[in-house]
Amino acid sequence: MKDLASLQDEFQRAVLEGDDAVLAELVDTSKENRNVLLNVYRNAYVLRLIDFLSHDYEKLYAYMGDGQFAQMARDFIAANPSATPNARWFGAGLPSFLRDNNPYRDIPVLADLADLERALNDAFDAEDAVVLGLVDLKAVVPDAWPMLVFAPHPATRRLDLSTNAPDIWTALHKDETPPQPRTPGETNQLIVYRSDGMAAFRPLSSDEAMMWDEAAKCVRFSILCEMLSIYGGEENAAARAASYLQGWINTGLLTSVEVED
Amino acid sequence: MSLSSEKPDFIGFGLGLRPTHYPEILDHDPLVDWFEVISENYMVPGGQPLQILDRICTRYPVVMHGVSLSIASTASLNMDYLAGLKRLAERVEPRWISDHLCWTGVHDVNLHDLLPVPYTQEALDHVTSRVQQVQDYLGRPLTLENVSSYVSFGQSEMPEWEFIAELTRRTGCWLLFDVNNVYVSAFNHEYDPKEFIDGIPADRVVQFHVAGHSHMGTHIIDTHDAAICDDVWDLYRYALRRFGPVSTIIERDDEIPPLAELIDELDVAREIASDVLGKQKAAVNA
Repeated sequence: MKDLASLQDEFQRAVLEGDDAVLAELVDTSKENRNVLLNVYRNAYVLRLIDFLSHDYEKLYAYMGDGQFAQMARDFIAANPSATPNARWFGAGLPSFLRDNNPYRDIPVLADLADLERALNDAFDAEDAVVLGLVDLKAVVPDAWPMLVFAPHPATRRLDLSTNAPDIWTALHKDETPPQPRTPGETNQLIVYRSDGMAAFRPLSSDEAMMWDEAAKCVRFSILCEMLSIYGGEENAAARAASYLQGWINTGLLTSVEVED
Repeated sequence: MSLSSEKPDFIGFGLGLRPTHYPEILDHDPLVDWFEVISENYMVPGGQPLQILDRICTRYPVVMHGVSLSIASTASLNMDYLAGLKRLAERVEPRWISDHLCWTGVHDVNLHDLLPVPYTQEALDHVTSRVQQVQDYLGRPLTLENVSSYVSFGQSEMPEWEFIAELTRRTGCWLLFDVNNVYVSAFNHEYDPKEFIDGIPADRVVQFHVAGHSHMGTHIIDTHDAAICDDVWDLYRYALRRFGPVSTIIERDDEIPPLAELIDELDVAREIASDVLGKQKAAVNA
């Protein structure tokens, strides 16, 4: 008699690879043969994982349509058997799969859309943390402002996308016909965040994106202002920095501020 | 060694908590006695799912029901998963924690399905040991559900109900008795579902699932996407006669209807239970 470990190994290979060896361990019924019954598991495996992906990447699904999405999902599933007990994380590797594998890497908008949806999903159920308020900043004495360092809220994500995927996402979100995919030449710089429990995103100017990226590395406010003046021009650099900071606080992008000695 | 524990109280008639019903539940406090939550849906870092779950827990008794414990797998227990499950249980304080008597994968792969077990002494010894390890880790008895199955193994040495009965005797685990799954498996493997029910120790059953399925002619698939059919209600009636009052939920995972429709279906369960248990009480008092 085959031991339990060998039996499970064979059964799994039957589902993943179509290997028929396990059929020798199964029995027919008077109504149906074992191969048809085994196929219930084989079919369910693929259909269930396609279903997970279509929920996690619902805009990509809408954009590609049933047939193309299902084929893409089958390719992904074949290359990436799930290693996680929680279906929530099964599709996490889809953006990089689309970016790295033919024929999908030739259509960069697909990976960009997937990247955006993954970031939104991750923001939605990211770790909770207090949200920095304007009142917290007002408590900081003026002399301490140059030494301020900020901590991004754990739900924030930065994305740099080469295509107009954000416009496509927005059109699909409004049930409108999406625009043709384009690669505009300038990078679409986005911040993804959570507001009132829901995930959202907005574009950043290159100026603001640079300041955010540096702030997220715990660079002091005085240096952020200097970098802004070098990067985006001296005029109103401090005012621009203050304005960006206020916007971040108003949309809950920061969790804390500290004065660095 | 089995953990000793008092049998959880009967908590009435509930539903599986599904996100599409969140607004109605939070706004209207529907007449549902309790909710069963899919553990993995809330094993996430934070955000709205956990906040909503916290609010539901303040209003209703909650039971945690997992799909990935993989208790019958020959792979090592996933201790990260168990740690997450334990953390969630500390937050939710569920009446009990259930999962399925099945395996979901080996070699670090998860097939996200409830895969069948051969009913052998070897498998029984293996699952017994795993249940004991999990119960020791969680510090409480597990509740295990019989799954629907589509294939059976030539090497099986006992019927499913004997396997389950012996497992509960050895480990002290409770049973989530899925009436629909018994109906499905009995049809697929050509046995009498009442024989299954008669073979289960009545004092171990703490919960019923009832659900819909898809009939394929030669076999039935447990799809949870349809209303409960009369045959399953009849079996529910039979199970109530054998097991007495058991906390019951309607399970619906696909083609999820409006909450009111599920509550109507839950009322059918209430009426059947009232009819069966009322008659039993009358018979005792006669």
